[in-house]
Amino acid sequence: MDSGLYNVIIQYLNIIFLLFTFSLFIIFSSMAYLSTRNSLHYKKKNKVGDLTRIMASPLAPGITIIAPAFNEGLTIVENIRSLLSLRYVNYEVMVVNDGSKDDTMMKMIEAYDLEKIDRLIDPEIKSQPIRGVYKSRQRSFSKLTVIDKVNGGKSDALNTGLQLSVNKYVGCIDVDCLLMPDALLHVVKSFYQRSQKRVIAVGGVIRIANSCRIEGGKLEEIRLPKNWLARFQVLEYTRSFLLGRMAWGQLDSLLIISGAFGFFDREIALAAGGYDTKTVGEDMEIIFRMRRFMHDKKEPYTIEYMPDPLCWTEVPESISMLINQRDRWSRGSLETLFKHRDMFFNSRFGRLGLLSYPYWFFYEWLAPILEITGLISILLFYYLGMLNVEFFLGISLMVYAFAVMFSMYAILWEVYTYNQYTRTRDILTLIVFALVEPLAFHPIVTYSAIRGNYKKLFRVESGWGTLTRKGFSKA
Amino acid sequence: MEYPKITYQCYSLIHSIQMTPEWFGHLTLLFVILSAIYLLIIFIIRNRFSRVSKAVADRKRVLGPMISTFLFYEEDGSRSEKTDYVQLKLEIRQLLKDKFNRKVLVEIFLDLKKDISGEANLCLSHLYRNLGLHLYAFDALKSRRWVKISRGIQELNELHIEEGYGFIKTFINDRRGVIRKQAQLAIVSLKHEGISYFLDTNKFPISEWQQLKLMDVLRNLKDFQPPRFRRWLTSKNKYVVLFALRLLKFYKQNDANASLIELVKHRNEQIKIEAIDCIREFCVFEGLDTMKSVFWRCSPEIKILLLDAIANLGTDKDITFLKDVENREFTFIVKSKALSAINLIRPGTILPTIDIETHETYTGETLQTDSPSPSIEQVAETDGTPRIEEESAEQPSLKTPDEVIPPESNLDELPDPLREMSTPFTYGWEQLVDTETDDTEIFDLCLMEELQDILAQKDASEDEEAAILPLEFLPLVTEAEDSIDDSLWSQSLPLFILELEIECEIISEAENFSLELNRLLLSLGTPSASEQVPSSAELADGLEIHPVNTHGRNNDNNLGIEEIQGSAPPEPVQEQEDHNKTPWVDVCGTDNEVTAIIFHLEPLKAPATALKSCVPQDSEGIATKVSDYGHQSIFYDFFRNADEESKLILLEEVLAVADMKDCQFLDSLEGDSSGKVRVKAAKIKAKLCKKWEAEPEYKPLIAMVGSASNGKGYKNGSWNESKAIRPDPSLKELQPLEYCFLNINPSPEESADGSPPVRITVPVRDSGTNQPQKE
Repeated sequence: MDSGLYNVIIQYLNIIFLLFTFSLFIIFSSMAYLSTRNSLHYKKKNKVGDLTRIMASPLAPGITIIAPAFNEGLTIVENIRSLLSLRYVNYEVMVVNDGSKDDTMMKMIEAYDLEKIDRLIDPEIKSQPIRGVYKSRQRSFSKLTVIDKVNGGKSDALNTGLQLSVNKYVGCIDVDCLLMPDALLHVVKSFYQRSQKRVIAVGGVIRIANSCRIEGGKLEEIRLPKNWLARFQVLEYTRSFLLGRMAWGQLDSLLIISGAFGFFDREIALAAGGYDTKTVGEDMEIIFRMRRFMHDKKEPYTIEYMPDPLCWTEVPESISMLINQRDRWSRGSLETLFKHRDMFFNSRFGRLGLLSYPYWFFYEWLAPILEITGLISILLFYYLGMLNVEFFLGISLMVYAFAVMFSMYAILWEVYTYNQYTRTRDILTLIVFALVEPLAFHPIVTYSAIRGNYKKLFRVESGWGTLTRKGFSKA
Repeated sequence: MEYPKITYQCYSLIHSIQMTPEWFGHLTLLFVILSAIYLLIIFIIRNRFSRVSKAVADRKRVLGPMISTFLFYEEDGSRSEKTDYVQLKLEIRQLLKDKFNRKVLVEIFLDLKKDISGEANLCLSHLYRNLGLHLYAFDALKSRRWVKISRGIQELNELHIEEGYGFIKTFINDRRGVIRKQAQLAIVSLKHEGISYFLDTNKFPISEWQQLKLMDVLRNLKDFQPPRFRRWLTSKNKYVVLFALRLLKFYKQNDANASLIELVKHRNEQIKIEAIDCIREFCVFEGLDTMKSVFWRCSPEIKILLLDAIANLGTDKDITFLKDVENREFTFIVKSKALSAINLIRPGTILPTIDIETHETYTGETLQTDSPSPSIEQVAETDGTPRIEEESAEQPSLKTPDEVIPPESNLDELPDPLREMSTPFTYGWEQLVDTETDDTEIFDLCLMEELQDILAQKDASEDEEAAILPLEFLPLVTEAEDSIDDSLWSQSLPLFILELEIECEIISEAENFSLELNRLLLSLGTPSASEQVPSSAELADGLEIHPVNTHGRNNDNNLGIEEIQGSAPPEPVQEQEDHNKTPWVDVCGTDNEVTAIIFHLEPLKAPATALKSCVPQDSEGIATKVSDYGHQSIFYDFFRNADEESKLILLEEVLAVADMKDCQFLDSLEGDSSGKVRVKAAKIKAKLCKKWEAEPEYKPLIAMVGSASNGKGYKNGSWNESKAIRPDPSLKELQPLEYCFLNINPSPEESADGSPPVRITVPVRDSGTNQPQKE
């Protein structure tokens, strides 16, 4: 090979990697700053006033919580009980049994004294056939509606709920999520507090409930998970939700609302076409579509993000389940980005096209690929005897130090804002995990992402995978 | 190839920065240092949080009971309680000089405000004001920081400081959202006219959340008379219009029909929705045509609302329109709504057609069996698609009886008797019957039958008892009796009461009390009169007889008198609940003693006797002696020891607890050496008199104290000169406030030999004994 050309290639590779690394540092630092600003403002603003007064207001809008259930027999009764005990007057819990193969439906019928009711259903409804709509005979469970339908996947179940709901707002959650009693009040506030822009969706922080003490569907004590994998995820979620999404929320450029806790303006969600049943990243895809719809409509809109710890969920505690989950997330990202590729650096979509999409493309989707490329290059250079060990160690240490620093900042911010883990031991544990995470946990995540991309690009058949829940009561 | 050359050129143009390992070292070091700093901050913050929360909890433990003592303090308590109260107040004032204490105290106030209601709630606001905390809130309004301002507004609002209304008003159109919203809530909450002011002046959009909160504030206002909200339906601010519409609906003000109809045409969907809602709610029939005219250009959501309104208000004339909607609309839910609207206007017009099995038509034999089974199978369609239009055309017999049946109807072909019989049974009678009308008819029928039975029974039976109709089946109606039979009265009263001459007049309770007090005090005016203890008969003479309700009334100025008298005040007489008895008679009970009927006079006698006993009747006259009252004021001792600043603080307290003794005491301060104290005392006296003037029962006291001041009494809002308090000669120098409560009294023996030991009495505030019971 011409040594000149070879040098040029090496030089350009250097430039790309250097630019990538430093722009990543800059972007993460900016995110930290923006999230800090946003969180402080949010905290101060919400110190004033009492939400609970609004609970029974005649103007309080109706909300339907749609909870798709597939083979959730183990926990379904408790989970519904928890959803029915929220502090809000005008809401409905709509559980969509997505053709469960276990006793989910039977358990619901027995526990809540359900009976099939006659209800007019749009014959053109875009979902798998509905076998029946059930309501409880008991007045105390009047807020509960159960839809029994043929299996069609999570998106299909959510679409059914969206179409059958009559309330102005719908919440799409995982049925095994634990919502805090005031969650709906916060959601309504977020939907209602803007006067100039239409709030089309509201998202929030997802907290990890593994090892927490939960009794009677209520979170009694917050504890750090005992499982090491779950502890890494605590750190990861803190960083992602408290710093990352908060910053994107400040820029009004949020591109994803977690499927475990997302609320939508039903009219817009339906007008945008509801959930895409062909993707496994439906939570991200619907936001892309709703944003696109509003851009086309030229109506001012926004997506709100709440940093309050309102939704608690279980995370995988085994490596295989974690890899499956992250694999799916990667495929979902790729599918969505590919589907909406016309947005890439498209000024027609404003910040969405010029900022959010490129960020997502380079730093969420491309980053694992670059990491792997870098790793392979290093191994190759080492093999060829070209590796500048001093340089390699220097840059690796720097990146590691930055990663630890960012995690430290996330812990600091968690302590300052919500301080959920009150025991000093828990904080010390998190700090130790922050030191280990880049070396122990990050490679697993990167591997999962590569696997997901590989499956997608080489069309390897793969679906949702399964996540076995222990159930809160057994946590 | 040219490509490598170009690349070489690029290469010469773009060079990557030459990074050396030292650079990375420096950056690594920087990140490590930052990590260490964050780590440090994490623990500092945690420590600070725990320290602050502990300090707040500790402070709350101290301040909480103090506030409770204030809240549930009863003004007719003992002297020691009063002393403790004042001491506590002074103590709390000292604490308030510290910012942290102030913050915690405000927190306690705000927490308590949420938890308590009624009298205690009012008391809380009064206490907040009394402690001067509202002044700090006013100060906060001057701040530049939005957090402080909004906090200040919130405080004033929550604790209902009406004086803040004027200040807060200026923030109603503030460009900072949080402040603006707090101000809006506050002005609506503080004064009833606030909502009008807000709707008149608001320039900014009102978010839905803010509307929700404002509505909540209005809902919880006591005795709120809402203005006519139609005034704001013409506002230029569309948010004001929207909110006015919602208020209109909430307060059911149905006087804006024309505006409502116009607003249905509004461009804003929300306004349109609310206007439609109001039209439906208030049954504005005139709006039907407008609703129909705007229908086709609306979104499905609004169409559903319009159909709902038309279904509620519409008549047969509107069915054509609804059928048109059903035919032309594409949205399933709108079509479905149109059909249900038709059925609501004319029940049974649209019947189920899906999955209905086909059976043979009922024959006359079936009808004879008297079984009301609906034969909807006649109209059933097996293909499962709804075809309402065809159905109604082909099956006119499905129409309700009150429908206009076209001449070509198949029903005409039926033989008359069969037609008459078949109508209710054959064609889904449950849907055709107007249940409400039928219920009334059935009730009338039953009633007549029942009456006839009763009358028949009456005819059959000749005995007396049967003459009374057994009307138990009728609703029990009771009416209040206007008058009580005199004979029953006289039977229940003891003879001596009946013999008394009683002037009966209906006057208010307060008026009654003050008149009686006046009368008694006048009788005390002359020594001869005062020496005489009026007999029961004399006291009863001129007595107003009416039910007495003295519970809940605290006669503040009685306290001192009662103390002097050394007897407990008479127990208030509870209002009678038994309507069969004369209230005052029951109060008297069956006691034959004369005291039984002078219960009206007991509250009057007590102060009167007290006054008589405490006012020495010597040649100096009342005025001079009443001036000695000042020495009995609880403030007297404090003032002997207090320095100027303490005196000024103590004077603030006089207003809250003052009675006649304190009034005289204030009078004595006119000669105080400190000009500030003199001025302050005069001001307090003026305020006190204004306060007393407002309450009729205090007027005699004002008059009495005024005359007792030997012509130096209260005139035109000011008081004249009086004796000054002389500092305690035993004290070499005056004390600051915190030492005023240490009663340093040299004992006689010790003072005799001039030895310094003193007896120090510290008033002890015992929460167990002095804390009043919670109401």
